[in-house]
Amino acid sequence: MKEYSLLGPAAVRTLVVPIGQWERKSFLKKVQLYQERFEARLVDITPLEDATFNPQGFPQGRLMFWFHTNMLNEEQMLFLHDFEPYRKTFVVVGLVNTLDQDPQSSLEALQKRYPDSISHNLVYFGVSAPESKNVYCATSSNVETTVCDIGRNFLEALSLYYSSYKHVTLRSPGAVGGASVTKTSLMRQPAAAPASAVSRVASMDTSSTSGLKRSGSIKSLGLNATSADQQRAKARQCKILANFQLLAGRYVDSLNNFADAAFTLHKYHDYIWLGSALEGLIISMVLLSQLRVSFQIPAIVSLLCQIKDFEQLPQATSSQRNSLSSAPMQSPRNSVSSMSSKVHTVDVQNVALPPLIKALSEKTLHYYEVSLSHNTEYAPQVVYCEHVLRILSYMTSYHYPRTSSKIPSQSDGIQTPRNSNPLWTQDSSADCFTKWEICQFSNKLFELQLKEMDLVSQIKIYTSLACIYRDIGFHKKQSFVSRILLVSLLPQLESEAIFNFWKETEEETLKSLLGAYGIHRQPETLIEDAADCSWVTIQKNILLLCISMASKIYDKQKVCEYSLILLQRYSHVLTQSEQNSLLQNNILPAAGDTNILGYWDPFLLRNLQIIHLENRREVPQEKLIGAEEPGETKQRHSQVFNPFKQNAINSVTDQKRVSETAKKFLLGETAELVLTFQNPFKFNLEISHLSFDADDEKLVQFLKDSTIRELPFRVKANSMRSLHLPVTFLKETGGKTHLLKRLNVGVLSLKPTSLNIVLAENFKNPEKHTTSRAKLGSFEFQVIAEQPEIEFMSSTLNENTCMILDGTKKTFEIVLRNQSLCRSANYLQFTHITNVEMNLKSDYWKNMSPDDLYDAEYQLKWMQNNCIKIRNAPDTIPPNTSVTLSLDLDVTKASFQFSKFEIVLEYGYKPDGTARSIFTKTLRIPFDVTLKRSLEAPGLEVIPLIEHIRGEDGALISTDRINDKATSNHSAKTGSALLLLDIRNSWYDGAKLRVHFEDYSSEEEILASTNTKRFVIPIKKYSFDHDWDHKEIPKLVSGRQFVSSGMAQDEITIMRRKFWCREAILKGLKCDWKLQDASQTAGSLDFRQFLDKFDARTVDILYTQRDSPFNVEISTQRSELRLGETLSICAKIGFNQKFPCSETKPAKLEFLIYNRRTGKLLPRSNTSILYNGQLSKRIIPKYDSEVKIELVPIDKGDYEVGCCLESVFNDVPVYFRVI
Amino acid sequence: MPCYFAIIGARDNPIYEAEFTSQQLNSFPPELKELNPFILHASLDIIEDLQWQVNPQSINSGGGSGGFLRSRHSNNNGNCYLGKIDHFYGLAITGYLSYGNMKFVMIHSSNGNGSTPAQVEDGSVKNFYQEVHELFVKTLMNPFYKLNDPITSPVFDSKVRTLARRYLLK
Repeated sequence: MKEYSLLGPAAVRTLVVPIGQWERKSFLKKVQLYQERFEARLVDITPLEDATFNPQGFPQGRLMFWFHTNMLNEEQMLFLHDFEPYRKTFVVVGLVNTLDQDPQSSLEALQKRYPDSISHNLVYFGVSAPESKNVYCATSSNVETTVCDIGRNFLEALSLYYSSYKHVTLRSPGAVGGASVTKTSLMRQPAAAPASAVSRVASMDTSSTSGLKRSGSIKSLGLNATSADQQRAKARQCKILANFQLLAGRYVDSLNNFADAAFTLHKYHDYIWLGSALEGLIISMVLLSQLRVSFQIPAIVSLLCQIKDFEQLPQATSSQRNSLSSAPMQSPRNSVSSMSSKVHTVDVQNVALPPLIKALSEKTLHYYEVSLSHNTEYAPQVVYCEHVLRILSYMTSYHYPRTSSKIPSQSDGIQTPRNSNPLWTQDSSADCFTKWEICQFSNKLFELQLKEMDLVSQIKIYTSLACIYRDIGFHKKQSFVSRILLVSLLPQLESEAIFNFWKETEEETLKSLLGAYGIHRQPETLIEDAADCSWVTIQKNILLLCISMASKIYDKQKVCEYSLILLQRYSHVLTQSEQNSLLQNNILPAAGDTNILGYWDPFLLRNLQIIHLENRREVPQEKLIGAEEPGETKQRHSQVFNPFKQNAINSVTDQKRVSETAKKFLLGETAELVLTFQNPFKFNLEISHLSFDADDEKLVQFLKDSTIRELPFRVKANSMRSLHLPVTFLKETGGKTHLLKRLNVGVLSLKPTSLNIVLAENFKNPEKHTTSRAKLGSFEFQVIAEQPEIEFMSSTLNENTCMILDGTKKTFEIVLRNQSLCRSANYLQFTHITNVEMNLKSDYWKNMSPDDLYDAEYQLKWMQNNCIKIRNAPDTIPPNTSVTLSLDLDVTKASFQFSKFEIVLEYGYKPDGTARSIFTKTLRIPFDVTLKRSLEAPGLEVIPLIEHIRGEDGALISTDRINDKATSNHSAKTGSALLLLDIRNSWYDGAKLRVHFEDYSSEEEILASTNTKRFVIPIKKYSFDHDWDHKEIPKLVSGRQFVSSGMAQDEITIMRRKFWCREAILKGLKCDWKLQDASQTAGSLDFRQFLDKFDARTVDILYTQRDSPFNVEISTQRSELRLGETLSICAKIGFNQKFPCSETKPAKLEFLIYNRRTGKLLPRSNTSILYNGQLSKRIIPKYDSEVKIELVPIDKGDYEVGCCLESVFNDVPVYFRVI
Repeated sequence: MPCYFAIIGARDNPIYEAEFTSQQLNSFPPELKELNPFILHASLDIIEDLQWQVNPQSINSGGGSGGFLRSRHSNNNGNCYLGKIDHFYGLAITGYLSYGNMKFVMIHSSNGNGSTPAQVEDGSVKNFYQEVHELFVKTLMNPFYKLNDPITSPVFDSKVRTLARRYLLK
């Protein structure tokens, strides 16, 4: 039975004590057995002689026992025993399970031990004892019988006990207890005595003295009301009697006696006793209605409350009440009916009982409040509170709407007999109380100064209130009340009784409290909880309370647990001192004791990586050497000139691939481990321990003592800090990559825990169904075996630099050594790269015309293939040996920009033939080159060869061979030309040189330093058959797409002509030279770099190609004449086969006369030459094949005559000299 | 009289908290300051109970116009204001419920030292709630504000405090 059930005053307090050897568990089980069968029907109890409590007087009645096992607070409530006698523990039942002692002596011992109780009983379990009065043997079936027997004993004892009360003057609790009694202390002004009601009752009383016939029981008191005091005393006696009758199950009698007592007490303004009587009245009414016994509402109720408000139509309830087994009880007070004209008395069927009960209870409280003005006759706070709680528990069992799962007996906590019906059933919704009403009623308690009461009462009140809130589903209220209780409990936990009591219930209470305020959430691990926000101020407060509660009972474990929760989830609302004290006072001591607690923040380790030391040796790169695709691999890895090389590196996809590859470390290498720790708290953290997981430890290990030196590592409050530690690698990973995902970290004195690497926090995103709280990181690496180590030792070049003359060659040697003591380098790939290639832009070819591009790429290709050559490249370099390599450096055609080059050696150890990939390293040996100019070709000119010159004084063309050559090989078709080539010596020494063109070879000439000489070389013109117009300029690099020069067709044609002319000349032109110095340095001259592109005139001479349909040849008989002589010049018009002419249009032919010395065109009228007619003539080429003009020079000099037909010039002019 | 006001979201989380005090009036004593959230939290139970009431009978204080759930025939839309819903020692607690299940709750303290229970002027308190509700709806329209998140806007705060000065701290 709960502490403050409404029926509490009707239950007999029964103490159950163990006698003999009991285990707590089995004893409590037996007690529970009785608690389940707490009811004894009066019908089943053997009748008594005493009339007052004879069970036969009201056979429907029941005797209710309240079995409990402790007497907490009994002493303190002693002052209430006269006022509310049911508080006394009347019955003691000893449960015995041994026969050590004689039953009678046991009984006596029990009586001695509990002298205040009036009935003592022994129940034997498991052993058979001789049954006698008050001694019973329990079997499985006779529990009810035993309870009935105990009940009879109690009733017997009660009549004895009551008789002692008959002549006692009953004093109020305030008078008994004196100053120690806690008076009800209301926040508001207590109510004053209502004057009108008094007069009404008083007036009724005068009328009733004549008519009212006292019930037998009151008469038996034998009191005659003479004075007010006596009347009052009598009424009090009457109330006490009613209380006992309530205990004895005689509810009708108790109802009447309570009514009588209330009547009198009301009249004499004895408010506290009146309140108590009304409470008794309420209980009697409730019990009677439960037993379905019909009764009339006492007159006093009608007087105090407007009973009309609670009346309901008889039809509404008649159907229910019909089922009542017992006939309606005849009220013993016949006279009441006579008063019905005056006072409205109602049968219980016609009244909605629950609201009436509530109204009565409010009256009760009202009278309790009124009593407060009195010095001694006041209501103690306990009485007031308990009444409120009782009514609350009644209301709770009647609240509406109620969840169907809760049956009333459970919700009000009454021990229900197994076979009995529920004590009350819900009549209709109109009778019920809403949660709101219950809550409003419960608020009456918060008008009292509860903290002034003794602690046990406080605990009882608060827990009962919490239960009530729990029953109506107000969990927040429940938690609130629990919190108030804990706060008031906190300073008084030193008391031993409370201490033990608390220790038993602590865990459950705090757990439910934490749950109610939402502290069970785990934002550190669950993403849903992290997204939610909650009332942190409340939660922090509750946790702090829990911590202090736990620390009061020295439960270090709990203190630590709660502190951890607080620190883990609410660190953002904690101050620095709070965090510090939580850590230092609560967590660390507990952790030190048990050593099971690890660090609580899973986000400590924010980053982990291993980086190479700066002074490390080169780490080998993995290289595929599969036989299937040698070309591909070679191209990718060798430094051959490759226009796509740069492109590949710059492309996005390739870079990504590079960054994703795992880092590689050599076996035994020392590297640096970088750890980043995060400290979100306001105190400093100390990293005290670091170790790798068992799996990782096989591969990587901290360098000896490095952790000892660096630890403890301090991470300052609210900061992130990185720790650098040297590590070394112990074992090969065998080609696989290893993932480092976690690290064991010990913080402060806590146990090391394995922590993940947390890169970033995850947030709840409805689109992504991530459940993990954080994005975890890992570090990927490989450990590979030891590799060969080749070093460059020396070279024959001084400091790897050399000066070389353009056009010469040189040989030198280098020495390489494999420093490794065990691994031979049996995979060697020599390549080289020059600065020309290195400085090349990836798209160098984009805006170049095809002829320029050909030049550039021709040179690059040559540099790649011919510039540097290794004569004796070895296949393998054994461990710890040196090799000498001879290299040729050839700069005959090298670019002028050539200033440095590198020998690149890619090497590695190839385990056997089957390996698909090996690890290679690259050794680069840089060389510097200074290229000095030797012989240069600053200019080239081509002039047509005219036969007239032959006879001239050959100052320039001194040899006849030129003429021979020119004439002998002269082809009628093409004709000859002279190549005028300037060669300059820029070197300090003179040079012997010889120029060759095809099969022509010049005489050996000596060219002094810084001198220039012109060489005249006779050449053939190139025949029209070459068809250079349609010959494409070759591309040295294929595979380029979408390259369009954007040139028109005729531009392309012109370019092709120029290109092929130049190529033809370059092909034939050669020049060897030898310096006249000590070393007789010899070389050759590369004309390609010196010669510009040919201009249109040169091309015209070399490759006569007419696009017009005609050509004109002019001729004259003489080339020398005297002044005044006539010179006839004939222009012969020919046709071009390539462009056959069908036109007959007239064309204009014009003669042009130049002064040969000045090269200036003579004006049409001049003082030098006279001519007949006009210089220009209109002709029709088809018919007029020859045009003649006659000139008479009148001035001395050299003249040149050209001819122009339709603005096309003739090829060969005519020269003449006037003497 | 100092007041403690809070808007409680659907998950019983406070999305806005404020204490209204003025210079000439006493503020909450520190021990009460700590208790205020608890008192508010506890009275949420009552609001949750009242929010499903159709008939107005259970609400006794004058301000409430009836159950929060409106009957079909009622045109009254002033039923968001629940009136005085709870009290704890001298403190009165009033409540207001938005249709979006946002609970506006306030603790009214008495002017003096706590001996006299706090009096609630329903009219002005109701006005206060209605205007705060309007402010809250405006906040909701902010596309960057997510329902049930704490309101951190200083503008909102200052506006609510202005309203409090106008209606409550007279």
